[in-house]
Amino acid sequence: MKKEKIILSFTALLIGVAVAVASFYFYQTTRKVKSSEIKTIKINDTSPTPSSGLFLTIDTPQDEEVVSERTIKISGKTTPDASIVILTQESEEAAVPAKDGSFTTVINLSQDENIIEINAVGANGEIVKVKRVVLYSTESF
Amino acid sequence: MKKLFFTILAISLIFPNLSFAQTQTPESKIDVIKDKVASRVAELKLVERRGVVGVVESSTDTEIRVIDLNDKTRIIEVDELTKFSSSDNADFDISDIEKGTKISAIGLYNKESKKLLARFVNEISIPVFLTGVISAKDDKGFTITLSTEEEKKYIVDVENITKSFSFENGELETAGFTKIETLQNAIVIGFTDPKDANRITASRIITFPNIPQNPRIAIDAEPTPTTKPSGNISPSPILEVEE
Repeated sequence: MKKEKIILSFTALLIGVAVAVASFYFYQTTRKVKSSEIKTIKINDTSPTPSSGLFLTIDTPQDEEVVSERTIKISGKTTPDASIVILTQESEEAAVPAKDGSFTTVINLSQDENIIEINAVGANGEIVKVKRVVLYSTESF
Repeated sequence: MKKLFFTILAISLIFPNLSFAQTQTPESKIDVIKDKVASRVAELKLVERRGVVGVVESSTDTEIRVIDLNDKTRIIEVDELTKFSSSDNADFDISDIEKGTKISAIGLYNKESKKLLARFVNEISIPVFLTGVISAKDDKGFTITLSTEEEKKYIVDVENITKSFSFENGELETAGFTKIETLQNAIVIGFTDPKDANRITASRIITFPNIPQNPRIAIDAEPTPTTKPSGNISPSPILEVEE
């Protein structure tokens, strides 16, 4: 008797769920939305500043390099019409890239940590920068 | 007989090299040396001398976690051979390192574990490098306002120690505060005011008078008026930026 009750309850539950799903499906397929209720979303292409193609890549030094010489070569590539300004905590250096955009300059290092920021300033005023940390140490370990 | 058998078995198990010593050929010895050299070479390639600069996030007796200049978390291991130094504190050691301390560490970097075994740890001060456009200038207060690409504004104090340069014809020329004008691109190096994160004491300012304003930075400021001698007009040195 108990078993029959459980089976009947389960069947009734299944029928109820099936009816609910069928009703919902019927409602969704027959529903009509007024054109005034439809909202149009327009995504604008937001690119206010055209890219000038300014870039900056640094070949040397490597980031977090430990060196034992007081001077270090900074070399890299940028757009040929850019200007290069190299700054550390202690010094500043300017460079002009060659026709192919490559540049090389030498800067002096101070004891221990040197945070070197290389800035490429484009002809249109854009600035791209790359940071390198170079540590000077003559200790052997 | 049984005793003898177990004794021989025990000796051969305890001293296996002794029992097979006679069988090791010169070739196998060379192989062993080769393996040792190879493992040593691999070990040397795995580590390299490196240095890290950053702000301490947390520290224990054996490990310091710092946020480096690229905003990445780095792990620095310290041991009994690590030497500590600070220009302000002669007795500086691991116990003085706390959250917010700025340090540089030099040591052996393990490429596999990505940890630096520090040999030298030094307390330092890290300057801020800012690039932007000068949006206002206060001639009386000797300050400039620098607007950056990140849409932030910094008040930059120009002190007696501040060195000013202007970039002209591919060279940096020494320039005074009077040559700094609004709407010029500028690079500022300095130190943040401990009480105000948006205030910088400049150690150096570099301006670019012959290069147009960075198009990525929108400024509403008016250009600095040129002070020509005239009878009635006396332009105000202070420019107000429309918010």
